[in-house]
Amino acid sequence: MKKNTVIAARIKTSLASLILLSCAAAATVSAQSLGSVVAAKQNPLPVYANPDAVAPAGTVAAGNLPWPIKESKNDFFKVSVGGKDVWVDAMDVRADRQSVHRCSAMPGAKDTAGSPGAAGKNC
Amino acid sequence: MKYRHQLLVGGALLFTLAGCQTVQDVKAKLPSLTGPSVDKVGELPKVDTPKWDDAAEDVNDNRAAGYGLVNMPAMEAYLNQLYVKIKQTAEVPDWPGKVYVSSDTTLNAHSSGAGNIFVNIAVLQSFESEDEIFALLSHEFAHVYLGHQTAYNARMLTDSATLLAIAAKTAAKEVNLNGWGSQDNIALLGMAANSVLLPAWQRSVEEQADRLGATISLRNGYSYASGFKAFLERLADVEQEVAKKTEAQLQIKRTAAIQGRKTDVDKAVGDVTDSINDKIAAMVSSATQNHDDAVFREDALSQQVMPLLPRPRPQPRVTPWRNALKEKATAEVLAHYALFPRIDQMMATNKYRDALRLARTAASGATAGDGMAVSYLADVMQKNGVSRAEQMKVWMRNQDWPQRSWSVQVSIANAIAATDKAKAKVFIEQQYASFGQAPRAMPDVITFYVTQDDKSNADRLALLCTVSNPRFRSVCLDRSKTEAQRQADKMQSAARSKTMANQLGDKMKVK
Repeated sequence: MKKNTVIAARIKTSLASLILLSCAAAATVSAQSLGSVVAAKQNPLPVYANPDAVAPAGTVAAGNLPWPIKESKNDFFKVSVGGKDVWVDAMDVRADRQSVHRCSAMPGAKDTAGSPGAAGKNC
Repeated sequence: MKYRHQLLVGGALLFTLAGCQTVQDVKAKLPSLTGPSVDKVGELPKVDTPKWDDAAEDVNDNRAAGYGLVNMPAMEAYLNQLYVKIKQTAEVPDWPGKVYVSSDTTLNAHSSGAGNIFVNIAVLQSFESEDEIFALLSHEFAHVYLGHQTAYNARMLTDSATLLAIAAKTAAKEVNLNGWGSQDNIALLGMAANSVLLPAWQRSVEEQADRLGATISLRNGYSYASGFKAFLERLADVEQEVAKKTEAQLQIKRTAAIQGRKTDVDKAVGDVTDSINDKIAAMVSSATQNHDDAVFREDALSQQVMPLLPRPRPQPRVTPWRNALKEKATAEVLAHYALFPRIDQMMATNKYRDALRLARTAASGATAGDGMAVSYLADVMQKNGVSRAEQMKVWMRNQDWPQRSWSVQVSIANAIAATDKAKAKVFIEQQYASFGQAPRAMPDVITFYVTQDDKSNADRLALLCTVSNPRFRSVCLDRSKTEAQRQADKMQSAARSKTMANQLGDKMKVK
């Protein structure tokens, strides 16, 4: 029948996540939905005392990734580095994202070329 | 610019294969092929209104893709409200096109030459803010705005000259190299175009859509990090997972192919083909590796966006998105679609009764007549030994459903054919007409004729398809073949490949 290719690590049953998300405060997104910081674009990485602070409070070595995201605000992520909570600019890092993506044997003729899409062929 | 480099390499290879005369010929075609390019975030180039594809045919075509479209009126109204804002921002408020939800369970969306945007249901199951969905819609609109559909259509027509013109325009470079016979050129042109140039060109197109889409998002005050960036990060994660699996599968295929070369001729042909493929891969370095596409796209886009970000950064608009997802019928559709992976798991472990229970839930309420839901339920019923008549009742729910699915009509026709071929033929032809003779439905009708031993109608439709339906030309021809014809073609193709490989094997010189 249908062949599943479930991105298991990313999926936490979307509906359950969405229901949980709906209970959270609007401006602050829960850690469960935000995943982790998986890559830093700079090393050392600037860290901030508050979300959306203009100037960094210091830097940290971008090691021991991933860093679970505890909180997100104003496009900054609160993470724990070396046992200390700091804010990092979302623009300076890459976060992983939980997604539902399932390849199935779908019926119907396949296009010979495709069409402009957001992603490449991911099945 | 990584992709620009790939395009140059691909372009060079293509021009090498094609020869100068062809390049000169196609230069004349350049202006009409693609829209303006977008080099920077913040630019909104002026464009001419395109010649629109037929909107009804476009929607029917998508009803014939997979299990078709999902009936989500409240979600569609919300998405269309955002689409209106996007068109207004681009100063083309009167352009046609609507947003539809597709039952496709992969994380993707696509736009069409009718201006429509089709958002896969996986997007609704995954995205976390209005910023993110606005980014996706802006990206898809950018493809429409920049006329990328024209170029995709060119690929569908497998028009090599057009491909060259696109390459010439994008790469902005001429490479005058000769030394290839015309037959070599034709043979290798397709290989180079498909393995090197087109993937690179497609990435370039995606980058441009990212830039214009980001411009539209920023002008509407959306968060970049929670919008475009999050959306690209999400794609990156999917790509990386899929790339791992694909590489593992390829390795298995390669090993099986080598082991399957029984005769000396098979081995010789296989070795030469492998050699050509390896050399092309070597020539273009990493051009064919695209598993890091979204990572690269995110990096490139973020660098351009960073200086443009306001302070304080805009708050992500989470609440309107959550409210849209919470709407009663929408939430029910999403809950039911979340059951399909579980049904698959149960079926894979022979838990048919449990699967049936879930499939009945999945095909109820807001998805009682949904194409995917009724198809799942009918399949699971069959495994549970439920009668064909009961399955038919389930499929028939889709007949009056607001979003009818072509694949369900095919299932019904096949079921009718088991007892009444003439009635089945009338049914499939009526449905084909009611789906506006959608291009994507044509191959299925041909298959139906072949399976009903109606070869003359299959051939008639296949011929019509080759003339009027370039996107599915090869599929139609393939579907019109009987098994005996397919075997004969396979043998002929093997003989042709052997001759070609022997002739070309020593011509691929790599420094």
